[in-house]
Amino acid sequence: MDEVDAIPVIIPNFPNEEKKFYKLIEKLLKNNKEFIADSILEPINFGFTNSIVRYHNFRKEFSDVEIMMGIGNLTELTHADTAGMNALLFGIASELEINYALCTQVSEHCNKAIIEGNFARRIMHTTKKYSMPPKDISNKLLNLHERKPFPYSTDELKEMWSNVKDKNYRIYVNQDGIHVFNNKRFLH
Amino acid sequence: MSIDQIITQANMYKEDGADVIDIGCLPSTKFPHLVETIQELKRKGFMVSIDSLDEKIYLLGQKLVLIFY
Repeated sequence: MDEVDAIPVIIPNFPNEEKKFYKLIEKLLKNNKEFIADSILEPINFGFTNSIVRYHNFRKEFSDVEIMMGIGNLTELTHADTAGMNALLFGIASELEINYALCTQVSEHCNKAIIEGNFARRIMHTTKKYSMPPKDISNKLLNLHERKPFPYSTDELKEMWSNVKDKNYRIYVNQDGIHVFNNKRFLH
Repeated sequence: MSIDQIITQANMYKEDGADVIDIGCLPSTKFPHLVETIQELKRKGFMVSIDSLDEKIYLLGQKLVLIFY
């Protein structure tokens, strides 16, 4: 450690050996060296939940130590949309006051992981500051769903149709299906 | 990846909001231009971190990074 010129990221040899890791951290704190600790986020089916608990325990044990969380083990190794995973993981990071996130874009389904992480950290930071749930502040992490997907009922669309004077088609979708209309026709 | 390719990608990540560019090294893949890559990224104003399984990475001269696992 004495030779280190940059700030090292300290990881455990074995993530489940918490006490050993704490001892190492205590030793480093005594040496008064700058470092970042990463207790390792494990992939789902390989101890994910326990690894979240370990971050939680670590933060309780060391309130002032800077922590990094590498979120690639979740986003890269889960075939689910990364926007939602980023929201959840940055929510956890925000609650645990994790200082750094390591985001990766290796798997092709992760090719927006960094910008999503950027949105997620801002959404979580701001909503935490105002003690509100991470809702109604940004649509950036809503990729598959709209906040209000169907703004007009079929009755309202028919009313709009009665005012249409030109031949251009309007296309709307609501719970009843797809509606297409111009001055002459209303197709459903 | 060549240094130019790395710089291009780093610029894209920065635009997407990345604060630090992490250079990830694979155990079995040679990366002879690692030092030069870091120097070039630093020259361009990036903050850089490095992730490697090598026990020691000495950057002679500038002493930029040295990581122990």
